[in-house]
Amino acid sequence: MQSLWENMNQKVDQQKILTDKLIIDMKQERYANKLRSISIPESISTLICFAVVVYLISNFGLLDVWYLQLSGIIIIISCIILPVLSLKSIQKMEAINISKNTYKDSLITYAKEKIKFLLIQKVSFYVSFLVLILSVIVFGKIMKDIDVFTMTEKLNWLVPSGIGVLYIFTQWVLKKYKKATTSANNILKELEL
Amino acid sequence: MHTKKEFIQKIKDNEGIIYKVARIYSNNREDLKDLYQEIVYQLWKSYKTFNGESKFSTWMYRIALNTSIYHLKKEKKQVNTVSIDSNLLSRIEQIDSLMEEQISLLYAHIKKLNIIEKGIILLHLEGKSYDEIASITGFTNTNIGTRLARIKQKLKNQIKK
Repeated sequence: MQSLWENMNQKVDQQKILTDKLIIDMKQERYANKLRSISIPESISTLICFAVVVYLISNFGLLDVWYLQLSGIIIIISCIILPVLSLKSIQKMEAINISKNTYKDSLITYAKEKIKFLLIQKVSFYVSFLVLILSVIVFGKIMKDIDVFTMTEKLNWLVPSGIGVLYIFTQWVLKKYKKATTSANNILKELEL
Repeated sequence: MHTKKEFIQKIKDNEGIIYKVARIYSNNREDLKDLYQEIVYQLWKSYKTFNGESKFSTWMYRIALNTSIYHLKKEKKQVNTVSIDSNLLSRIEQIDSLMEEQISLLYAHIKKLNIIEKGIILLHLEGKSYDEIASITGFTNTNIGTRLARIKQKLKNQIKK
């Protein structure tokens, strides 16, 4: 194995393929990519969230019952917190010191950040689901003056089917994240050995 | 004061390191291209922190390995990459197809190891001493010895199968 690797090394080291231009191009393209990848998706979702917040605050007076007001407040808080969390995690990623950290430090940071990221994503899934349901209620009232809670006939099938969808959704989310979290935990355990 | 010219020359002198690290941590050609360019970018970004206390190649291994770990964390978004000459990504194939086959097999076995083991075996195969591996990875010399023995056994078992 070692001799095969050494043979490969000799061949690889003999080949000088990188050029000055290629190195400069790679650096410039990457730099542009970083700016693009941070600005577009996160900015759009943040803008949408803040537009929802502004719309709800300016129409808050139309929510005349306590449970409609409570639903509105939950949506407003979620739409402020979720984008902030997402932007903060990007900022944290950018702040990692690649040149000072050892491989072990990076692995620990990687595993811990991954666990934290998965938790945030899991919570975001549930919150988004809740916000979606509350949005139907709140926007129904603001735009069409319909109070979903007074429509008892529809509630008879809406509530059980909502619980059913929530159950399936929860199982799917739990299954998806359990495997990824276990693998990150295994890295941390093995680093302690 | 580090100059751009100096940096480019040093990268060119050690370009094999980028290829070898990127190949271990990538799953396909696109990923290899993406990681290769990310390593070049991170080396460039971090060059001002290189103070000459260690060899340039040792510093380069550290940046390349750390970049590879954080590269795993990122979502696999489609990113623009500079079109790289295919020679850059298939260095061995062009010289010796039999050797490329053996190397591919070796890489396939290494890729089956976990992320901790991949870095250690790479540095060992690169002929680094326990001291150098310890300074790059942050593990103690004794720990490196124990881990290497375990990794070699694991590789032997994999190859036997």
